[in-house]
Amino acid sequence: MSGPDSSRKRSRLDPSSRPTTGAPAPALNERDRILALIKSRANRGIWSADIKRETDIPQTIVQKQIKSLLGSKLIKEVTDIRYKSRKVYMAVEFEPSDEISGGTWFSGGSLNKEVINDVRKRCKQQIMMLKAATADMIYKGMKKSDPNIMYTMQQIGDILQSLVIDKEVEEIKSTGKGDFANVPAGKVCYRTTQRSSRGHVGALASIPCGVCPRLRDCTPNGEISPRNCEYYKQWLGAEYF
Amino acid sequence: MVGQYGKRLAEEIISTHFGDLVAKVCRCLLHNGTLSLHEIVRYTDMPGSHVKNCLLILIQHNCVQAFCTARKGSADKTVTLYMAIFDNIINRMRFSKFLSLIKGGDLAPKESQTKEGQCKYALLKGLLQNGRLTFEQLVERSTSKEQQMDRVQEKHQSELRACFNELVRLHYVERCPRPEPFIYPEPEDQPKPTRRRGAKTAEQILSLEQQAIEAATLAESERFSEIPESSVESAEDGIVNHSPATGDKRKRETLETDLDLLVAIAENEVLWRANFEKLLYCLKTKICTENVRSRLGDDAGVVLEAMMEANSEQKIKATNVSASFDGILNNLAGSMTLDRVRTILDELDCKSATDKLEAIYSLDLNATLEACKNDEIEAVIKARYGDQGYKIFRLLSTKDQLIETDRIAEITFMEKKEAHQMLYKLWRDEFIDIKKVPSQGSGELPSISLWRFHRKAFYQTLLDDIFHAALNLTVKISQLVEKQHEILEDDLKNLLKRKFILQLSLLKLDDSSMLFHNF
Repeated sequence: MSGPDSSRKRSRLDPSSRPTTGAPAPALNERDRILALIKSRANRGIWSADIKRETDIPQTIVQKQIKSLLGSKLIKEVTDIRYKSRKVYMAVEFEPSDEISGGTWFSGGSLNKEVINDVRKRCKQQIMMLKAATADMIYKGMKKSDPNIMYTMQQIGDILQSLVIDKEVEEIKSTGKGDFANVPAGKVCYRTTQRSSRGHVGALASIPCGVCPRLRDCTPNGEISPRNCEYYKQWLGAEYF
Repeated sequence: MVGQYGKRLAEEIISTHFGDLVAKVCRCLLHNGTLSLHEIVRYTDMPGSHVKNCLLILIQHNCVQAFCTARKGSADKTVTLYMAIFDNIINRMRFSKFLSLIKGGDLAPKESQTKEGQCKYALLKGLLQNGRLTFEQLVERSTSKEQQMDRVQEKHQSELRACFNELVRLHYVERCPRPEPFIYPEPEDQPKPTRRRGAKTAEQILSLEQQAIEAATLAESERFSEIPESSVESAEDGIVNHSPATGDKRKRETLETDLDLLVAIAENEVLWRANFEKLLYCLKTKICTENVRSRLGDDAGVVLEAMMEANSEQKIKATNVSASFDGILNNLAGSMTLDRVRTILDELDCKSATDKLEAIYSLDLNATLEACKNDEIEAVIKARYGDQGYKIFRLLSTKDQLIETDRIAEITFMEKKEAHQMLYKLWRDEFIDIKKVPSQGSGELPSISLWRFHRKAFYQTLLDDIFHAALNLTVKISQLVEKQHEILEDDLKNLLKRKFILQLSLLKLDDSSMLFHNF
């Protein structure tokens, strides 16, 4: 009685018994299936663990085929900004989506600080020129001075928000008069802040207690106390007190 | 509600100024609330006479208020209770600031000192140092200080009175409150009224202490009633009462006698004290003006100062400032054009209205006070956590809403992992709150973290930290004062320099404590 094992054995030992037509060898199927799956994900890419789960191909074979596809330059590895430790693969003909790459402000999986600082500088220049301006006015001004810029209103809004957070500009409602003459009264607009408002040195922050990690443990006559405090000694520059 | 370090700071101030025994009585009242003499004796384990003397000192210096109420369970018998006034104790740290408010006084630049300013300075200083004095005692004090003879000279009593009345008129000085007002207790047999849901009534349920303070406070007209001129002085000043009918002579003489009696009472029996409410209001004006100046420029600061000085109701806790346009212009004394003033008032977001043909401007100071508070908090965050922590905190404090971790990283242009780590540090140190919601997507994370800055709760914590830091500075200054007697002369100069740094830091920190506690 010939069983499955014996038929395989026969095909190995007897080359004439090998079929000439029908399904390709199993290894090629796996490679094509993986490549097809990766291509189907277009610019979103796919994580290696997801490839294994969806194709039901053992992990070692998946890894081997991915390596082969990378070598053949049919796929590439990209960084998913949301899950940096994952290996995500994409067909070479696609560019990673904003969701994966992080958008305009990211490059190679990291924040592109140069680009961000450049856009911040341009926004500030527009605000200084106009004295007070809405986001729309700033955007149009930037477009006018450099028609090649490709940023959206939303992105300029993000930059303006970061300038407000850093106190380089303030978000304020227009009065329609004085510096705000070009902005209708009541509309939200932006203007540069006074230099002196940015460098405020707080009272609590300017003494050792304000930044001390042990403040809550400190008592006048305790083990940690102002009387023997090392931070005070350093601050006053008086080790012998 | 005062935190533990606020109370400890108050105790330390009393101990430094009046000694340990008085501090012990003060501590007892601060920690146990309003007590009778008998209870204080029991708690402090001190002889009754010592406790009485300590209470007298504290009352003299406006740190304790006494009041009477019916004894529990007995309608006929009364008991005198004593309560510590925390704010007045803390005000003792601010005496030099209060004195600096006197224009032309000793703390003004030499070239702007005036005879009148120096006189007012001396009078206010006397009241601050001694707690409460009669006018006669003030006069004696000014003439007995020989080193001040050159400055104060031999003051004709009416000249002193003029300076004093000016202080009263400007509300820097007031008549002392009633020493032992009677508070009617709530009837025990009546059930307490239940508050109707949603009903906002104008009557607030006041604590016994708040009732005592209210009952002790004199009416405005009496509180700032000046010392009248005697009939003799009126005659000397040429104020002659022409009365055509002879029969009115007796009436005039009776009136003059009554007037002299009033003057005698006002000078010899009425106790006067510094009006902390006005003095704190002036400090509030300074702090708000400084903040506006730094944000909107010098002119805006000057206009705000003029507006706050012309404010019709100068209460510390009130955030609404209202002044007539004419009042503002008077205070500006022609330093700006009308148009410029109007432009700045608009920039300050003032609302204008007309009342009896007079333009009235009103301003809500909340935004300015919040800006001052934010500056203080942000400086601490920046010093402790660097730029990243600062940006995240700025975002959460300006948005005042729950924001997701990823969105925070996007807006602040931070790597997500870094943003996450910083958020946990801020949360661990109780600067921000976290709320976890179940994740609805098919992502890996079981829940999403939302973050928020809980302003009111944080202010209380920060205030106690400020009091704690002020206590530490006070203890450190005391330590240096002790060392002053032990070290050599060569090292003394260095020690005094360091003491000066600590004292300046304490003055600056006190501004923050006023922001978070008084204003």
